[in-house]
Amino acid sequence: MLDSLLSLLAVFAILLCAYAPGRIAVRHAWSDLDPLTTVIWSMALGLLCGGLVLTLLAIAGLLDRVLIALVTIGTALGGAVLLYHDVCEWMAHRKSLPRLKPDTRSPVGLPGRGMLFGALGLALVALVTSLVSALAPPTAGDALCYHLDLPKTFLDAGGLHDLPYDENATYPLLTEMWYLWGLALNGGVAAQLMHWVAGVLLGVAAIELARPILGAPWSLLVGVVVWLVPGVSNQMTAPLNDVALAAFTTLALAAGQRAWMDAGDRRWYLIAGLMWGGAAATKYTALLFVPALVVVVAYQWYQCPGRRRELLLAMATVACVAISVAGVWYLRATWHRGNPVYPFMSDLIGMQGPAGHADKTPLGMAPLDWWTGAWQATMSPERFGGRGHELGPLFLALLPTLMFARRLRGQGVLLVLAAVYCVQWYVLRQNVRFMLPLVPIGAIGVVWMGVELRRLALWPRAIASAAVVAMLALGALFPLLRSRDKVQVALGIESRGDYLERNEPTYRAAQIANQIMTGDARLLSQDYRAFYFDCPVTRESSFRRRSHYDQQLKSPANLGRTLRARGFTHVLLAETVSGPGIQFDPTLRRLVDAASVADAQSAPLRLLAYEVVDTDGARRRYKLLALR
Amino acid sequence: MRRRLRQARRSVAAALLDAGDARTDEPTISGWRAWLVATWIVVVLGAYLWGIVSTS
Repeated sequence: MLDSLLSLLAVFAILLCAYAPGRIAVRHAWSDLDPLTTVIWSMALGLLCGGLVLTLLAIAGLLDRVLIALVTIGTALGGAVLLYHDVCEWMAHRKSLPRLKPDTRSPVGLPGRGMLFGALGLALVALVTSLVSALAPPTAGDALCYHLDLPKTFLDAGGLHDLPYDENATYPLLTEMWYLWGLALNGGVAAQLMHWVAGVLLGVAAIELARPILGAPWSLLVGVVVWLVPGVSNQMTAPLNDVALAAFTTLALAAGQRAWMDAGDRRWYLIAGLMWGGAAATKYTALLFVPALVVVVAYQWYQCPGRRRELLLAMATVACVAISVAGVWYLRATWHRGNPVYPFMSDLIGMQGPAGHADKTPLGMAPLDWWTGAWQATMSPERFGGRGHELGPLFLALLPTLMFARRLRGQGVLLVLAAVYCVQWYVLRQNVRFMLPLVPIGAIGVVWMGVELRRLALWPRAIASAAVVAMLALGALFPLLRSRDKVQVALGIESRGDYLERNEPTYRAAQIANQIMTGDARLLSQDYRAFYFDCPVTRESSFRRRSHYDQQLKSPANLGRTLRARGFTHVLLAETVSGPGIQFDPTLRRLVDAASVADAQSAPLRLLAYEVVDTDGARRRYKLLALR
Repeated sequence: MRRRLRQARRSVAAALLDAGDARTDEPTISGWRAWLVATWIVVVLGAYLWGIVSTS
């Protein structure tokens, strides 16, 4: 329990630390924002600011745990004072604050009290159970491969440095800078909780985006729908980056929308630029919004000839600010790899990228595939990245029925933007988690259709409403079920080590390796999950592809000497014995076997061998060997 | 009072809803359209639940 409390305390300190600069900026720019808007933009700007400061420290080679902790605690104290002051002020003037009035901003009155509290209750279940899951030590594959491993490596090294055998090392890594923050203060769990925070931010950003379209009361339900999306609640439990990206893109859209609606307040364009920069610094997928935004801007250019100058200025502002925020990551990729979006588009640029990538577009270009794409992605998410990232049935059930709904001002533009994004998703990379940035836009449509269901005749309305309630309840049920085996470790009944022994295949090898390996040890591993190893870990497949060490061996007996000459001291072999999922390349395993047959004296020495059932249900065998 | 409230609601609706939408004033979605909406939602939910059960 103490471990969980310390992790929560670390994240709380980070949030207070982020609140301070964000609140100062928001207060400086606007004095008339309501509390929710103030908190949303203060946190968003503060977290972006924190990520950028850590990026600059990393580039300068000044990353230091003590320095980060001292600055965080000092700024967090300032943030606490500011927050206390704000809460006192809001409490004192609560009667004059903007309220959810039945006669404002909604063409159909308020949502029923029962409906509102029921939906908020379901969202609370999803958020709390996701928090419980996020308090368990991280075991998500991609997180252990690079989302957590890279910040850990950079933190240990004191700054950003090139990792030539890590294909992910030159990605945009703003979210990973948040994880670095959590790692510096506490560890993997605090880092993981930062993505849960990003999920909360996504929900409130969706509310912010929906308010001018649906009105304040109904926009709360947009946040609820977002939090009840299974893919969102699942990603909030793991330190990945799709939810963080979705939060940034939603905030960027909300800021752009405010700027366009509050004509003349160009400060919101500046905020939009910052948020688009944050999105582009989080994941390459943000670039899919560029063509979508071009279409929307072209439409506004045609529709509003009187505002073309403003539009031009807005585009220039947003682009300049976004490039200033995110450009450093693309320059870094160009510097180290010669490709700003490495490893993507490598073929187009005429460069060598990683080989052996599986087909990322399960749907073909046939008209029938286009028509049934949404159905297939909803019903068979396993084919599109996994059921853990699925969007759930609400969007497929309600968005097509918008054709019978009244049109909402502002919704059409968002739907066009989403449609252009969807086309690119379909053509480039059909993974359901890459649809998460569209969830808030879809949620606005879902809530509006939910409102319009009231206009159905009695029996169809009753049937449709019952089905929608069932879908929302499913959205709360999934995170509840997922948290079952994590409650004990979150409450401290089970130790984090025991939990990892049960759930993380590489943990046992990492424990042994961390005990026996000395300072100059270096591991060559077939499994990419390197986070729990203290020593530097090199991916065997990347190393083999670049060095061709396997082809340079004159005899298998030379394997140990050859790898030691390259700086390695140990190897970790991984093999899928049975079941689905990743199949490891057998080259190194065969070479080790051949070396044992050729000369048992000089062959790698087995230190540990075990079999485990991985989280995907596959049985895998691991061997930790010392090179001789 | 009621009339003023109704007028206020209409003006809010006009502000939020797209101008020129011919269906704005329709009080209900009736007949086959209502049943189509309800049927589609139920079919999606049913197929989704079936997918979960059949893959678990």
